[in-house]
Amino acid sequence: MKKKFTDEDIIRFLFEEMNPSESELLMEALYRDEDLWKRYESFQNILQDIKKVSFEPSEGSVLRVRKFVAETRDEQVKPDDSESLNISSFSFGIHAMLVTVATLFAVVTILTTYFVHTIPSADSPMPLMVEWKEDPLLKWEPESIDQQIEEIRSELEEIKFSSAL
Amino acid sequence: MEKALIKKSQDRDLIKGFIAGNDSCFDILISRYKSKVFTTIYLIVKDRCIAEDLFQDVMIKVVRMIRSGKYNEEGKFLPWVIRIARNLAIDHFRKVQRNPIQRETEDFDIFNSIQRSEGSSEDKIIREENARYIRELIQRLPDKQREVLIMRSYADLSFKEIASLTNVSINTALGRMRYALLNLKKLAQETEMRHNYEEKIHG
Repeated sequence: MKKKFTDEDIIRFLFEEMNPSESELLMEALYRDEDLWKRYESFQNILQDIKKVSFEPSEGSVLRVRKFVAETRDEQVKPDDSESLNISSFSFGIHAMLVTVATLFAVVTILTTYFVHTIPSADSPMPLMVEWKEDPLLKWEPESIDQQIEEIRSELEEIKFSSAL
Repeated sequence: MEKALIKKSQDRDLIKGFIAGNDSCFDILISRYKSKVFTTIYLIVKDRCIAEDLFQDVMIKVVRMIRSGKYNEEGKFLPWVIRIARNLAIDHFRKVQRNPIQRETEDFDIFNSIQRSEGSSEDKIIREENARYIRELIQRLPDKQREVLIMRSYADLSFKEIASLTNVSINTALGRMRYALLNLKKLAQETEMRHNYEEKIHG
């Protein structure tokens, strides 16, 4: 059975959007079907006329675009509002995380230093139990603990302040 | 030698070159597509001055988007630019609807373009006259038909791409193209008949 070609088929053919086997069938049909040929010719003529229309932008417009390209070559691309919001919240998150990590690191360092200096090591020449009674550092008094805690606090504050800067 | 090589480069290579800092790559892209992009915009907005402004806006947006890494290499460059042009043209119409401004008619534009081109010959004037006549016919088409005709004939978008861009099926896009061509023929015949009639009346 011979295929009946529609106007849309002719248009697809003229714009080269038809597959090769279909195109071949249409070309064959054009030889024997006068009505199809007339429709094809009519569409082809209109499209040829349409192709005659072409406009150029003015030199000024093109120059302005080129100028923009040259002037903004080294500029950072400004993000959209939504993007800038994302970027600022992202940088805020990173900042907060860095401050937290720095604070934790400082606390750990201070506590480690404190225990290294206050608790005798196993390599100590004297037995731990003997030293326990005589070591003056182990004679903790409430005032000295408070003082040390206060010192740690103030050191922490300083670290927080400097990392915030 | 290098420029000749660049001229033959594919769009994606030119874009890569432009991202790498070679402005001449973008120059080639402008030269390659300025006529198609401008004709498309002009036929959509029907006003040369607005088309000039929109053309610049489109190209500046294209530059910004490429530089910010928003151009998808998998897509074709021209359909992408036409998509931006169409969106900006739609934005323009929305603005005009909100703040209508009366503009002068456009009978001067062909005169301007002839004046601008150096060494205009009689052939060129005839060509320009024909182009103006066809442009006027195209502008009398219904919007949806005109849109498909412009995108297929001037912007080189496939029917599939047009269908995707305008949210219709391929068959609808093809149908609109068919009506656009048939209506153009009808409009041309009517204009010719009127012209012949006027010639007879005025001797």
